[in-house]
Amino acid sequence: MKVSDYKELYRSEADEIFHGLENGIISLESCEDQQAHIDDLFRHAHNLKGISGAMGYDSVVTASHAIENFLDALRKGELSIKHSTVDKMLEAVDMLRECVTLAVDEKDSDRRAELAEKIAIHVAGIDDDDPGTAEPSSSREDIDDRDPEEAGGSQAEFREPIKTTRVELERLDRIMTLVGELIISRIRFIGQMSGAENKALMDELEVFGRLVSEVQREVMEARLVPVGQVCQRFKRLVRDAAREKAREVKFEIVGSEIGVDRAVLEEIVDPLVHLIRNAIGHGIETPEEREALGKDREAVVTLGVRRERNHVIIEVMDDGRGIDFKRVKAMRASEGLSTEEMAELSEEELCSILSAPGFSTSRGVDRISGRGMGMNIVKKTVDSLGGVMHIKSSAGKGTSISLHLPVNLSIIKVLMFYVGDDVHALPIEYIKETTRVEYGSLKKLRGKQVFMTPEGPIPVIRPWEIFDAKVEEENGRYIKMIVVEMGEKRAGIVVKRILGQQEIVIKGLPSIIRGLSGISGATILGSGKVAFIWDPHVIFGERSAYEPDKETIVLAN
Amino acid sequence: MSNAEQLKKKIQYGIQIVTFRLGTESYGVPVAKIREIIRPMNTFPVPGLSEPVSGVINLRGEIIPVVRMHPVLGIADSSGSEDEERKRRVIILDVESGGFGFIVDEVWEVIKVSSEDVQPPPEMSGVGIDVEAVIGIVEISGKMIICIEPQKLVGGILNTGNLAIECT
Repeated sequence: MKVSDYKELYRSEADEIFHGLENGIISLESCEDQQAHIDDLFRHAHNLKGISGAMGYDSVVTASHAIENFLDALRKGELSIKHSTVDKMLEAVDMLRECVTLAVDEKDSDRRAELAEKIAIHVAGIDDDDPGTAEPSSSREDIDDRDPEEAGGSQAEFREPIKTTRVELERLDRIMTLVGELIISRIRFIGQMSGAENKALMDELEVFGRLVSEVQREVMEARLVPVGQVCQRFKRLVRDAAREKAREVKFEIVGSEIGVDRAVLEEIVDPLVHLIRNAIGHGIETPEEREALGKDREAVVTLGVRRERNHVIIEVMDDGRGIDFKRVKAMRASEGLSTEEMAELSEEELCSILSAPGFSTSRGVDRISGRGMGMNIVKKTVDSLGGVMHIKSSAGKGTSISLHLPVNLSIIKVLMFYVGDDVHALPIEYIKETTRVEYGSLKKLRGKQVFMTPEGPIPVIRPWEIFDAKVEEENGRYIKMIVVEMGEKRAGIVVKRILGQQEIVIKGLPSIIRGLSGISGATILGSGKVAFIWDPHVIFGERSAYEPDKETIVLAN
Repeated sequence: MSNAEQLKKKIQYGIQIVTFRLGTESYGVPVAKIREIIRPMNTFPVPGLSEPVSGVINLRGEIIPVVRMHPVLGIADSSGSEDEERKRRVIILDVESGGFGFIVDEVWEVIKVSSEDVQPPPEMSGVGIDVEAVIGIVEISGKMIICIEPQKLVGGILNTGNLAIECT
């Protein structure tokens, strides 16, 4: 946690304490069980002293200590509660609140010290001033009639009823982890039960399973952050970029309320920045050009967000000139592809050309865009999140780039299998099928082992060719294979034993390991074993997402 | 701020260090960085990562990498006798990236050292240890204890990519 995080925590804790103090003090007037309230108040003051001490806010410590002393005297019956006591205590709380605010903001240390002293004197004098014990009835009226402004710190009671609550992300993550354990525990349960004939128990287990899934879904939804939280910053970006490029741009955000996993959101900000800059820098024409074309001087750039089941689609659209496909092809042609080949380029292939590192149709590099690295980074980020990028463009009408991303990164469905004695997993969305192949039917193609399918040969890969795992002997007549598919690339992974599909909770890998080894995450199995989740890119020889490319993306053929 | 100044500031009021043994050498880490010290537990090798990362452990639901410091510091492995195994511990540190564990042959004690006791790391290249990761050297009853920040030693190796696998 950063210092600012601690401050935020302190602030919210202090806030709670103040509510407790105020409510407690007010209850002193009416309530019969005063002793319990005084105890509560004492606890609150003591808490505040404790957390303030931890933060090093000495003035608050001094002040709350004084209040604590006073409450202690009350508790021991050395002082009695009078009509004025309540008012005075509330005043003390107000001063204390000011003191806390100043301390958190690190402002005005003189005033803080002064306040602390004032509070101490004030509290010490509470018992002296007022001679008579107040009648409860009059004091209550007194309180109720007070002008809220005068009452200072007690505005809290005039607030709207609370409908939402702030929960720390860490706590949500913890809940998430626990739900994950629940899921695992359930799977274990079922494993233990298989073969049993106790129908009632099985039925119960099924109910249990449904409940767990529901809890999981709710927690997952609760963890989502509205896209709008990051979108606001783009307004400024658009304004600045438009000004720099002398464009007139209207920026629209659609669907900003849609929730996305915060991990996805954090990763996707930079790519979006790039896409928006691209739209302004390359996509839209100057106001004069637009006028000449019969378009509005003001171009429209839209950031659209929508949800489709487990995916969120974030789209950056502009109504500019569109991607100059001729130019893209011409540039590609200069690298040796024939015109016929070019004419048959699919959207996916265009996508990969456009996102190849160093590719740019722009003739000049400026601060907004043009180096040609950006789309590559966008593509890589989307890939690493397990998403897909689609580019649509029509000449003169505009370009739309949409990123299809998983809403949630924490829970995925995987196929688990053994490599040696270790359990590994592959995200199910990359798996085409599992199959059994006769060893003898494998062929060699340019030195590499392949197996033949109606759709063509598929290279055979052993785990130890990817990782330096132990080489395992294959002595059976058949080998088991998981066919992995990514875009148009396929490969068959030879595995010893397949464990089956499972929904798992991805645990973050320690950053010291992350991004190094073709492993995208890990999970903890019911047995306590750690299973590693493969980054499918590694199978196809692409290095893991954040490492520099050695070569440009090869066109599939 | 120069390294030496930083160091001085760090140890102005004295620090507490846990001393431990690696092979025949004595080392220490600041107590403040230690989360806990555990007995070695089931370690799962990370595919594609080998020495010095011995794998990850599942510490109550958190996945923590565990590193063997012997190869990093160029120390010969201990005999592996039962007695040796019994003394072995994993020290879990809280570092920026989360938990980080490293294996030591034996944990000794917690000592408090003041600034006078700590000598700045010598400007040495021949010792085979990254000076950046050395907080200082403490002499306790004739024993030289090298106070280190293990994660820095390993971080350096991981970041320079010595361990990165080449995919084909």
